Amino acid sequence: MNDALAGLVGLISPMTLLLVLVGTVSGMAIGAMPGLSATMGLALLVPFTFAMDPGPGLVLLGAFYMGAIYGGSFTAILVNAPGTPSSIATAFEGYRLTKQGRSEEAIVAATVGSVVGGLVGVLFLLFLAPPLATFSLRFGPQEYFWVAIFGLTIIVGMSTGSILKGLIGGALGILLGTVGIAPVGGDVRFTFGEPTLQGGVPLVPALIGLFTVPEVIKLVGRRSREYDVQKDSTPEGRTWWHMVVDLFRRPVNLVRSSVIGSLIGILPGAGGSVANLVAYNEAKRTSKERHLYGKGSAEGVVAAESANNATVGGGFIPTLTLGVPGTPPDAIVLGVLLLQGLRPGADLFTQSGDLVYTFAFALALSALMMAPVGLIGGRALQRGVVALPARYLAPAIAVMSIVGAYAIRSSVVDVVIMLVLGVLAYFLGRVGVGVAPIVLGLVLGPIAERGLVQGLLTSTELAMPWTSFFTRPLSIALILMTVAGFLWPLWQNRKKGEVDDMLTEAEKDRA
Amino acid sequence: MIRPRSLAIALVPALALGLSACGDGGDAAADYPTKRIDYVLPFDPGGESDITARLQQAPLEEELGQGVTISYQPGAGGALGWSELTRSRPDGYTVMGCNIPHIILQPMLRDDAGYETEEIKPVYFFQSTPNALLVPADSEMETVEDFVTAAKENPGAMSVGGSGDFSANHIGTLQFADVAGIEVSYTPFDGTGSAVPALLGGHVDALMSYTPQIEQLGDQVKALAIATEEPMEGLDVPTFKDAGYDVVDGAYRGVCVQEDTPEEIVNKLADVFAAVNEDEELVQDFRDQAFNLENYGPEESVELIESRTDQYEELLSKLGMLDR
Amino acid sequence: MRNLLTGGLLVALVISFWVQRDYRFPHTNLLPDATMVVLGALSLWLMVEGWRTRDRHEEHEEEALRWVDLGRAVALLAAWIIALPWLGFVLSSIVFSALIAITMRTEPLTVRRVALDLVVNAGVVLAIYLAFTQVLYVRLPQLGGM
Repeated sequence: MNDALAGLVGLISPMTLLLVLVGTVSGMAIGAMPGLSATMGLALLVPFTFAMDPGPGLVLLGAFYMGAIYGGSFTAILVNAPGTPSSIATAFEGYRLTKQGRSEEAIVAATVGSVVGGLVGVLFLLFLAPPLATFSLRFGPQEYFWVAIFGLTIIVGMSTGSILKGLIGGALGILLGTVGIAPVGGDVRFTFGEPTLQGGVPLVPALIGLFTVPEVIKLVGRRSREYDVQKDSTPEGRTWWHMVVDLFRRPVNLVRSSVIGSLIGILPGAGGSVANLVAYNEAKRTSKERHLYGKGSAEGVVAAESANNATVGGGFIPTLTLGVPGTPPDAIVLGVLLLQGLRPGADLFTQSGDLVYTFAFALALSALMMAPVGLIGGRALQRGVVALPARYLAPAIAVMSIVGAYAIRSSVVDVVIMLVLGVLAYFLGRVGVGVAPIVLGLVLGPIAERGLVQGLLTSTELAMPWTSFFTRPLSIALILMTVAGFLWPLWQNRKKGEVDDMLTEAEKDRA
Repeated sequence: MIRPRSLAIALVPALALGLSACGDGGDAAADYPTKRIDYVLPFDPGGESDITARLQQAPLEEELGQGVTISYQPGAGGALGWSELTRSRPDGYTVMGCNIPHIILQPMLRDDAGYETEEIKPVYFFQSTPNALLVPADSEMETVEDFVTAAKENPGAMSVGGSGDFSANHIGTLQFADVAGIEVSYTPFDGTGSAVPALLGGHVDALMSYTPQIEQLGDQVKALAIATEEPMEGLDVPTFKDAGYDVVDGAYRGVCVQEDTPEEIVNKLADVFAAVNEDEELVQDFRDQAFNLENYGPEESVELIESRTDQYEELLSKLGMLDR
Repeated sequence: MRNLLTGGLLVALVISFWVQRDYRFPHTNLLPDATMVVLGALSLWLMVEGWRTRDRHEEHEEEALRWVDLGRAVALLAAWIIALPWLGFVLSSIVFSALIAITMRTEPLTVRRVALDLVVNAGVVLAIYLAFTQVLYVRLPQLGGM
């Protein structure tokens, strides 16, 4: 407890508070740019932390990371460009809200979700780190395989139109994900004889291509927005404060999504990209207003954003207790810890406890700071984007998309991949194959393959290594969840006789 | 896949000399560097290469008298960046991190890696991390001998995790298995970090990792042996050689430039990196990270690559991995 | 009809992947092969569906772009990206973002309007260029390649 107090005292100095503010704001700016990941931004900050003491250095990095994950929601909502893979589900609902002239509501929902999620993640870090870290070790390759398969069942629930087309999208995504060097084994696959395709279809250019490029094409082709921005569908007198209160009236979604995010964050290698999708799907599955999902639901935005910010705290659990980075940005923080001479492990909490607490409190403070910064800055950005004429908005989005696709690997090939996938997504959208299943396949396919092949390689002591996928207790639990996840939406649809409604909806929805 | 490598390697410096002698390269090389230098890493940020580069950044800027920016070009285990390097300008302003054994094994084992080992010109290898064989702290195995005995009892059943394919961990596991006459199943993970939970959770029996992990993971693991010639200072772990297995290898990190870069520039850069390696703070930081300081100049680097190439070629053809 | 066409194209895609099958390490065939079989089967199913409903009247899509507009949008973006390595980021982006803005105008073009579009887009491109190269040290394509 003394450590906690010392940690708090360490935080309350003007210098540290300033660092948190600077970290949060710059993180939000970087996160909002598609193609600039939290990881890349953190790497840029590392040299600055060399000149600092361990405490302030970590405070800056933590606040930056927290802000970056939140910042990704802005572009996802406003121009359908998920700034990071953690905001994929945010784009599903947030951009549709924007199309209805309700982008302010979406920004507020993202802010509330991110703040709560960030705080819940920190609570997990503070109180449950050691037991959860131990539990996470029980996830072996087999379990990762089943987690990915469970994630793929989301396709069934997410197929707005025909399930056949949803499954086709998912399989197409997985197939695109197999291009390039195999995640395990090093085989070069499906490169069409082009060495530059060895790196595969990189996720960020693919996301920009699938989500953003079709919107740019539509803007340019139509010469105007397809939605009427002047029409404000927000009822008179409904200010941002009412929106916030409304969201807190339904705390279940907030809490559940935050817990899902924290738990998935603990699993090294899964991270925000998986967490936001799973939380979104759970929110949809249990929601009373399921019919709104896919057409603009603030709940969906809340679920995705609280889950991804919760992975920040969750991801630091294995980083600090085991020395195993939970997410890619954690690897950078771990590197800085090591450079400062701090050894992660259970000892870190006892020997450098005050430092750990300062860090955790800084994360929490950064999450809190996102509220004012987001509500002022985010809404200002939203007004700007809404007010911008379409003929300037379209080229601006196009420039950002090109820079974003290029910046990840300094490669023009990635920009080409972006455009090709964008045109593909446009046509597939017209025939009723949505981008959501494709993205799911692209994100989860490699995780599934890694688990599958590693599981087979590590079980060579068995006569039939594949049986290990069905005999481990945790695997069995995940299999049951997968079966439930597959059957539940089907059963739900049948029960409500919604299948036909949804089909007609889907017909209207496409294009 | 086997090519007359030694001939090509011998030709490269000659060619580069010839190029720098003619043309207008003379002046540009004499003034070098006159602008910011791009230090490109063909990996994701956050790994050992990144930490090393970040530590070098400030002393490098001091020595060069120019800014140094670090950027990333990840993909295909580094191959994407290295194939890009072969197409970059030979002016010394693009300096790319390069690792042994990656730059040897990728072209050797892939039909078309996008580059050939001799197409990238080593400037300086400044750091290495030797392989280390780790088991969980509660494992019954105490020595390499225990490991070999256990592996012999049940051929092919032991699983050894490591960082990636065609990495030093991978080839090190193959080497060790070959020397000890055992059969183990190597499982590649996504980098050094993600292999660790597989060991701690008991999903693999052992880990072929790098020496810095011994310190980093502390009492969660036991190190059975390290793959160095001599025991390492401050590390109470026997070498494979002590146990009678001639396994000495690890990952070497350095920087490379485009192959046609003038010799003068290469030498200048090499001098700079050599001077950086003398920087007291950097030496201390390297020691803290359990990185080994190495000093391979341009020529020594070529020799290092050549000797490793021969060694790997022999091993891999013996294991039948080159038959295609 | 559209379903029939989509299914056909997907089958073609699967075949283009299938002919490249060439694995040298154990187990790396499992996921891709399974995916190709599944996607192939689903695509055939979609073709069958499309054939069965081929006579059904396809309702007119109000929201779909006309081919002319679609072609214009895609061509502009494609030309931009093709020009990227040759003209460099700054030049190609100013040219094509201004072109996009100009072609998006619905009112008659005047010198004034064209100049305005050019200035606005050049400003945006330069701001982004400076932010990325000078502050964030991201490398962007330079004039004349590389």
